[in-house]
Amino acid sequence: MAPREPKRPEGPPDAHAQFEDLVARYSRHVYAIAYRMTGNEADARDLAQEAFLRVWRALDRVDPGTRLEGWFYRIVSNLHIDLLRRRRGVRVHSLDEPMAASSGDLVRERPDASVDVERTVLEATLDRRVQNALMSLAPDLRMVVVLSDIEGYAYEEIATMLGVPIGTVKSRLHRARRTLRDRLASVRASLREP
Amino acid sequence: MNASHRISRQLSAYLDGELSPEEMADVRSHLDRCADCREDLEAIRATKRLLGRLEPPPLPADFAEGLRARLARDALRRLAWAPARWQWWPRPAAVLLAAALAVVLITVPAVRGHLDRLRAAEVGPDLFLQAATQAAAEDPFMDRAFLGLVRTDASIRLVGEDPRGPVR
Repeated sequence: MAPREPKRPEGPPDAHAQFEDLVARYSRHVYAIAYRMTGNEADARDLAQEAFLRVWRALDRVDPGTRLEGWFYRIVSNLHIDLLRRRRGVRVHSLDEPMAASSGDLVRERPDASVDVERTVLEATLDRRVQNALMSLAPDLRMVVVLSDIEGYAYEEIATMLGVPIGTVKSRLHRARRTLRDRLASVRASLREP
Repeated sequence: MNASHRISRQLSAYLDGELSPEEMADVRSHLDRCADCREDLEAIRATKRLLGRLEPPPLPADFAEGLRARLARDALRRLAWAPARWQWWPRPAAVLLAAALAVVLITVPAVRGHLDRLRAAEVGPDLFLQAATQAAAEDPFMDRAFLGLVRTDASIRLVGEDPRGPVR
Protein backbone atom coordinates (compact mmCIF):
# COMPACT_ATOMS: atom_id res chain seq x y z
CA MET A 1 0.00 0.00 0.00
CA ALA A 2 1.32 3.41 -0.96
CA PRO A 3 2.07 5.66 1.98
CA ARG A 4 -0.68 8.19 2.45
CA GLU A 5 0.09 11.83 2.01
CA PRO A 6 0.33 13.61 5.33
CA LYS A 7 -2.91 15.42 5.93
CA ARG A 8 -2.64 19.15 5.41
CA PRO A 9 -4.04 21.28 8.18
CA GLU A 10 -7.31 22.70 6.88
CA GLY A 11 -7.29 26.27 5.56
CA PRO A 12 -6.86 28.70 8.43
CA PRO A 13 -3.12 28.82 9.23
CA ASP A 14 -2.24 28.92 5.56
CA ALA A 15 -4.94 31.43 4.69
CA HIS A 16 -3.98 33.62 7.64
CA ALA A 17 -0.38 33.71 6.52
CA GLN A 18 -1.41 34.52 2.98
CA PHE A 19 -3.66 37.31 4.19
CA GLU A 20 -1.05 38.81 6.50
CA ASP A 21 1.24 38.85 3.51
CA LEU A 22 -1.36 40.67 1.44
CA VAL A 23 -1.91 43.24 4.16
CA ALA A 24 1.82 43.88 4.46
CA ARG A 25 2.24 44.16 0.72
CA TYR A 26 -0.80 46.23 -0.27
CA SER A 27 -1.83 48.33 2.72
CA ARG A 28 0.08 51.41 1.64
CA HIS A 29 -1.16 51.30 -1.94
CA VAL A 30 -4.76 50.58 -1.07
CA TYR A 31 -4.79 53.26 1.59
CA ALA A 32 -3.15 55.79 -0.72
CA ILE A 33 -5.77 55.26 -3.39
CA ALA A 34 -8.59 55.36 -0.86
CA TYR A 35 -7.16 58.61 0.49
CA ARG A 36 -6.97 60.23 -2.92
CA MET A 37 -10.52 59.12 -3.66
CA THR A 38 -12.12 60.24 -0.40
CA GLY A 39 -9.86 63.18 0.46
CA ASN A 40 -9.78 62.51 4.19
CA GLU A 41 -8.09 60.12 6.57
CA ALA A 42 -11.11 58.69 8.39
CA ASP A 43 -12.95 57.65 5.22
CA ALA A 44 -9.76 56.40 3.59
CA ARG A 45 -8.99 54.16 6.56
CA ASP A 46 -12.55 52.86 6.65
CA LEU A 47 -12.61 52.18 2.93
CA ALA A 48 -9.21 50.49 2.84
CA GLN A 49 -10.01 48.27 5.82
CA GLU A 50 -13.36 47.32 4.35
CA ALA A 51 -11.60 46.40 1.09
CA PHE A 52 -9.28 44.05 2.99
CA LEU A 53 -12.25 42.57 4.80
CA ARG A 54 -13.96 41.78 1.50
CA VAL A 55 -10.79 40.22 0.17
CA TRP A 56 -10.47 38.11 3.32
CA ARG A 57 -14.01 36.80 2.96
CA ALA A 58 -13.43 35.80 -0.64
CA LEU A 59 -9.88 34.54 -0.24
CA ASP A 60 -10.72 30.84 -0.38
CA ARG A 61 -12.62 31.33 -3.63
CA VAL A 62 -9.73 33.04 -5.38
CA ASP A 63 -7.48 31.30 -7.82
CA PRO A 64 -3.93 31.66 -6.46
CA GLY A 65 -2.73 32.85 -9.86
CA THR A 66 -5.07 35.86 -9.93
CA ARG A 67 -3.49 39.31 -9.89
CA LEU A 68 -4.87 40.73 -6.73
CA GLU A 69 -3.89 44.35 -7.32
CA GLY A 70 -6.58 45.00 -9.87
CA TRP A 71 -9.11 43.29 -7.73
CA PHE A 72 -8.23 45.47 -4.75
CA TYR A 73 -8.57 48.69 -6.69
CA ARG A 74 -11.86 47.61 -8.12
CA ILE A 75 -13.18 46.90 -4.64
CA VAL A 76 -11.95 50.29 -3.44
CA SER A 77 -13.64 51.95 -6.38
CA ASN A 78 -16.95 50.18 -5.74
CA LEU A 79 -16.81 50.85 -2.01
CA HIS A 80 -16.21 54.49 -2.73
CA ILE A 81 -19.28 54.65 -4.93
CA ASP A 82 -21.29 52.96 -2.15
CA LEU A 83 -19.98 55.51 0.31
CA LEU A 84 -21.05 58.39 -1.90
CA ARG A 85 -24.49 56.87 -2.38
CA ARG A 86 -24.98 56.44 1.37
CA ARG A 87 -23.92 59.98 2.01
CA ARG A 88 -25.62 61.81 -0.77
CA GLY A 89 -25.43 65.45 0.11
CA VAL A 90 -23.14 65.03 3.11
CA ARG A 91 -19.74 66.65 2.86
CA VAL A 92 -16.88 65.46 5.01
CA HIS A 93 -14.38 68.08 6.05
CA SER A 94 -10.92 67.10 6.98
CA LEU A 95 -9.36 69.20 9.74
CA ASP A 96 -6.84 70.77 7.43
CA GLU A 97 -9.11 71.12 4.45
CA PRO A 98 -10.07 74.68 3.56
CA MET A 99 -13.76 75.34 4.04
CA ALA A 100 -15.56 77.61 1.66
CA ALA A 101 -16.75 80.74 3.43
CA SER A 102 -18.48 83.86 2.16
CA SER A 103 -15.16 85.73 2.10
CA GLY A 104 -12.68 83.28 0.59
CA ASP A 105 -11.49 80.04 2.16
CA LEU A 106 -11.30 79.29 5.85
CA VAL A 107 -8.32 77.18 6.82
CA ARG A 108 -7.93 75.59 10.23
CA GLU A 109 -4.36 75.73 11.38
CA ARG A 110 -2.81 72.65 12.89
CA PRO A 111 0.59 72.61 14.51
CA ASP A 112 2.91 70.12 12.88
CA ALA A 113 5.85 68.63 14.75
CA SER A 114 8.08 68.66 11.72
CA VAL A 115 11.59 70.02 11.49
CA ASP A 116 11.58 71.53 8.02
CA VAL A 117 8.49 73.60 8.67
CA GLU A 118 8.69 75.80 5.62
CA ARG A 119 9.04 72.98 3.14
CA THR A 120 6.37 70.91 4.86
CA VAL A 121 3.91 73.76 4.78
CA LEU A 122 4.61 74.31 1.12
CA GLU A 123 4.21 70.62 0.31
CA ALA A 124 1.12 70.31 2.49
CA THR A 125 -0.48 73.30 0.83
CA LEU A 126 0.36 71.97 -2.59
CA ASP A 127 -0.98 68.55 -1.67
CA ARG A 128 -4.18 70.08 -0.35
CA ARG A 129 -4.73 72.20 -3.43
CA VAL A 130 -4.16 69.28 -5.77
CA GLN A 131 -6.38 67.09 -3.61
CA ASN A 132 -9.13 69.70 -3.75
CA ALA A 133 -8.86 69.78 -7.52
CA LEU A 134 -9.14 65.98 -7.56
CA MET A 135 -12.24 66.13 -5.38
CA SER A 136 -13.89 68.40 -7.92
CA LEU A 137 -13.83 65.57 -10.46
CA ALA A 138 -16.59 63.02 -10.86
CA PRO A 139 -15.59 59.82 -8.99
CA ASP A 140 -15.07 57.73 -12.14
CA LEU A 141 -12.78 60.40 -13.62
CA ARG A 142 -10.93 60.77 -10.33
CA MET A 143 -10.24 57.05 -10.11
CA VAL A 144 -8.66 56.98 -13.56
CA VAL A 145 -6.43 59.97 -12.80
CA VAL A 146 -5.35 58.48 -9.48
CA LEU A 147 -4.45 55.15 -11.07
CA SER A 148 -2.68 56.71 -14.04
CA ASP A 149 -0.95 59.87 -12.83
CA ILE A 150 -0.39 59.09 -9.17
CA GLU A 151 -0.01 55.31 -9.15
CA GLY A 152 1.50 55.15 -12.64
CA TYR A 153 -0.49 52.31 -14.21
CA ALA A 154 -0.77 51.82 -17.97
CA TYR A 155 -4.13 52.23 -19.72
CA GLU A 156 -4.55 48.53 -20.27
CA GLU A 157 -3.95 47.76 -16.60
CA ILE A 158 -6.45 50.41 -15.55
CA ALA A 159 -9.02 49.07 -18.00
CA THR A 160 -8.65 45.58 -16.50
CA MET A 161 -8.79 46.86 -12.93
CA LEU A 162 -11.95 48.85 -13.45
CA GLY A 163 -13.56 46.46 -15.92
CA VAL A 164 -14.05 49.09 -18.63
CA PRO A 165 -12.82 49.25 -22.25
CA ILE A 166 -9.49 50.91 -22.90
CA GLY A 167 -11.22 53.63 -24.95
CA THR A 168 -13.19 54.60 -21.84
CA VAL A 169 -9.99 54.94 -19.84
CA LYS A 170 -8.56 57.13 -22.57
CA SER A 171 -11.56 59.45 -22.77
CA ARG A 172 -12.01 59.69 -19.01
CA LEU A 173 -8.38 60.57 -18.58
CA HIS A 174 -8.66 63.20 -21.29
CA ARG A 175 -11.67 64.82 -19.62
CA ALA A 176 -10.18 64.58 -16.15
CA ARG A 177 -6.87 66.17 -17.12
CA ARG A 178 -8.65 68.94 -18.96
CA THR A 179 -10.56 69.85 -15.80
CA LEU A 180 -7.47 69.55 -13.63
CA ARG A 181 -5.44 71.63 -16.05
CA ASP A 182 -7.92 74.49 -15.63
CA ARG A 183 -8.34 74.09 -11.88
CA LEU A 184 -4.62 73.90 -11.21
CA ALA A 185 -3.56 76.72 -13.54
CA SER A 186 -2.84 79.05 -10.60
CA VAL A 187 -0.88 76.36 -8.75
CA ARG A 188 1.27 75.73 -11.82
CA ALA A 189 1.86 79.44 -12.23
CA SER A 190 2.92 79.83 -8.59
CA LEU A 191 5.35 76.95 -8.97
CA ARG A 192 6.97 78.51 -12.02
CA GLU A 193 7.58 81.91 -10.42
CA PRO A 194 10.18 81.47 -7.65
CA MET B 1 -10.04 73.30 -36.74
CA ASN B 2 -11.71 69.93 -36.99
CA ALA B 3 -8.37 68.15 -37.17
CA SER B 4 -7.14 70.29 -34.31
CA HIS B 5 -10.11 69.26 -32.22
CA ARG B 6 -9.49 65.60 -32.95
CA ILE B 7 -5.81 65.96 -32.14
CA SER B 8 -6.45 67.88 -28.94
CA ARG B 9 -8.48 64.95 -27.66
CA GLN B 10 -5.50 62.69 -28.25
CA LEU B 11 -2.92 64.86 -26.52
CA SER B 12 -3.45 63.17 -23.19
CA ALA B 13 -2.87 59.69 -24.61
CA TYR B 14 0.01 61.06 -26.72
CA LEU B 15 1.70 62.28 -23.57
CA ASP B 16 1.40 58.80 -22.07
CA GLY B 17 2.63 57.12 -25.25
CA GLU B 18 -0.64 55.22 -25.45
CA LEU B 19 -1.40 55.80 -29.16
CA SER B 20 -0.63 53.58 -32.11
CA PRO B 21 2.59 54.47 -34.00
CA GLU B 22 0.55 56.06 -36.82
CA GLU B 23 -1.47 58.16 -34.41
CA MET B 24 1.69 59.23 -32.60
CA ALA B 25 3.20 60.39 -35.88
CA ASP B 26 -0.04 62.15 -36.75
CA VAL B 27 -0.11 64.11 -33.50
CA ARG B 28 3.58 64.91 -33.75
CA SER B 29 3.25 66.41 -37.19
CA HIS B 30 0.22 68.42 -36.07
CA LEU B 31 2.12 69.77 -33.08
CA ASP B 32 4.82 71.08 -35.42
CA ARG B 33 2.22 73.26 -37.05
CA CYS B 34 -0.11 74.20 -34.17
CA ALA B 35 1.09 76.47 -31.36
CA ASP B 36 -2.22 76.15 -29.46
CA CYS B 37 -1.90 72.41 -29.22
CA ARG B 38 1.75 72.68 -28.18
CA GLU B 39 0.71 75.00 -25.36
CA ASP B 40 -2.12 72.65 -24.45
CA LEU B 41 0.26 69.70 -24.33
CA GLU B 42 2.65 71.59 -22.05
CA ALA B 43 -0.18 72.45 -19.66
CA ILE B 44 -1.30 68.82 -19.50
CA ARG B 45 2.28 67.68 -18.99
CA ALA B 46 2.77 70.14 -16.13
CA THR B 47 -0.51 69.00 -14.55
CA LYS B 48 0.53 65.38 -14.79
CA ARG B 49 3.88 66.22 -13.22
CA LEU B 50 2.10 68.01 -10.40
CA LEU B 51 0.04 64.92 -9.65
CA GLY B 52 3.13 62.75 -9.81
CA ARG B 53 4.77 64.94 -7.18
CA LEU B 54 2.19 64.09 -4.57
CA GLU B 55 3.66 62.20 -1.66
CA PRO B 56 1.77 59.03 -0.72
CA PRO B 57 -0.23 59.75 2.44
CA PRO B 58 1.32 58.08 5.49
CA LEU B 59 -0.48 54.90 6.49
CA PRO B 60 -2.12 55.46 9.90
CA ALA B 61 -0.01 53.73 12.56
CA ASP B 62 -2.94 51.66 13.84
CA PHE B 63 -4.13 50.55 10.41
CA ALA B 64 -3.19 46.86 10.71
CA GLU B 65 -4.38 46.71 14.29
CA GLY B 66 -7.73 48.25 13.39
CA LEU B 67 -8.09 45.85 10.50
CA ARG B 68 -7.45 42.88 12.77
CA ALA B 69 -10.12 44.07 15.22
CA ARG B 70 -12.52 44.49 12.35
CA LEU B 71 -11.87 40.98 11.07
CA ALA B 72 -12.50 39.59 14.53
CA ARG B 73 -15.78 41.51 14.82
CA ASP B 74 -16.84 40.26 11.41
CA ALA B 75 -16.04 36.65 12.31
CA LEU B 76 -18.10 36.94 15.50
CA ARG B 77 -21.05 38.42 13.70
CA ARG B 78 -21.04 35.66 11.13
CA LEU B 79 -20.82 33.05 13.85
CA ALA B 80 -23.91 34.51 15.50
CA TRP B 81 -25.80 34.30 12.23
CA ALA B 82 -25.12 30.60 11.68
CA PRO B 83 -24.90 28.73 15.01
CA ALA B 84 -22.66 25.74 14.52
CA ARG B 85 -24.84 23.32 16.50
CA TRP B 86 -27.68 23.62 13.99
CA GLN B 87 -25.53 23.12 10.98
CA TRP B 88 -25.43 19.31 11.14
CA TRP B 89 -29.23 19.10 11.07
CA PRO B 90 -30.28 17.65 7.76
CA ARG B 91 -32.92 19.92 6.29
CA PRO B 92 -35.44 17.19 5.18
CA ALA B 93 -35.50 15.71 8.69
CA ALA B 94 -36.36 19.09 10.20
CA VAL B 95 -39.18 19.62 7.70
CA LEU B 96 -40.59 16.13 8.35
CA LEU B 97 -40.54 16.71 12.09
CA ALA B 98 -42.42 19.99 11.75
CA ALA B 99 -45.06 18.34 9.53
CA ALA B 100 -45.57 15.44 11.98
CA LEU B 101 -45.95 17.88 14.87
CA ALA B 102 -48.59 19.84 12.96
CA VAL B 103 -50.58 16.67 12.21
CA VAL B 104 -50.54 15.59 15.86
CA LEU B 105 -51.57 19.02 17.10
CA ILE B 106 -54.56 19.13 14.74
CA THR B 107 -55.84 15.53 14.93
CA VAL B 108 -55.58 14.85 18.66
CA PRO B 109 -58.00 17.61 19.78
CA ALA B 110 -60.35 16.84 16.86
CA VAL B 111 -60.57 13.13 17.68
CA ARG B 112 -60.83 13.73 21.41
CA GLY B 113 -63.60 16.28 20.92
CA HIS B 114 -65.58 13.82 18.80
CA LEU B 115 -65.17 11.00 21.35
CA ASP B 116 -66.32 13.30 24.18
CA ARG B 117 -69.43 14.25 22.24
CA LEU B 118 -70.27 10.59 21.53
CA ARG B 119 -69.85 9.72 25.18
CA ALA B 120 -71.95 12.66 26.34
CA ALA B 121 -74.77 11.60 24.02
CA GLU B 122 -74.49 8.02 25.29
CA VAL B 123 -74.58 8.63 29.02
CA GLY B 124 -76.75 11.72 28.82
CA PRO B 125 -75.44 15.30 28.89
CA ASP B 126 -76.23 15.88 32.56
CA LEU B 127 -74.40 12.82 33.75
CA PHE B 128 -71.46 13.51 31.45
CA LEU B 129 -71.21 17.07 32.70
CA GLN B 130 -71.31 15.88 36.29
CA ALA B 131 -68.46 13.45 35.70
CA ALA B 132 -66.51 16.04 33.73
CA THR B 133 -66.93 18.65 36.46
CA GLN B 134 -65.62 16.21 39.02
CA ALA B 135 -62.66 15.47 36.76
CA ALA B 136 -62.13 19.20 36.33
CA ALA B 137 -61.46 19.54 40.04
CA GLU B 138 -58.30 17.49 39.48
CA ASP B 139 -57.47 18.76 36.00
CA PRO B 140 -56.55 22.43 36.01
CA PHE B 141 -56.44 22.48 32.19
CA MET B 142 -60.06 21.48 31.66
CA ASP B 143 -61.74 23.89 29.27
CA ARG B 144 -65.18 24.90 30.61
CA ALA B 145 -66.36 26.50 27.41
CA PHE B 146 -65.64 23.26 25.61
CA LEU B 147 -67.73 21.35 28.15
CA GLY B 148 -70.67 23.63 27.46
CA LEU B 149 -70.32 23.00 23.75
CA VAL B 150 -70.20 19.24 24.27
CA ARG B 151 -73.33 19.37 26.40
CA THR B 152 -75.25 21.35 23.76
CA ASP B 153 -74.05 19.09 20.96
CA ALA B 154 -75.04 15.99 22.92
CA SER B 155 -78.55 17.36 23.58
CA ILE B 156 -79.04 18.04 19.89
CA ARG B 157 -77.86 14.55 19.02
CA LEU B 158 -80.17 13.04 21.61
CA VAL B 159 -83.08 14.75 19.98
CA GLY B 160 -82.04 14.07 16.39
CA GLU B 161 -80.35 10.70 16.15
CA ASP B 162 -78.94 7.72 17.86
CA PRO B 163 -75.32 8.65 18.62
CA ARG B 164 -74.18 5.06 18.08
CA GLY B 165 -75.23 5.44 14.49
CA PRO B 166 -78.17 3.99 12.61
CA VAL B 167 -79.55 0.79 14.09
CA ARG B 168 -78.41 -2.19 12.08
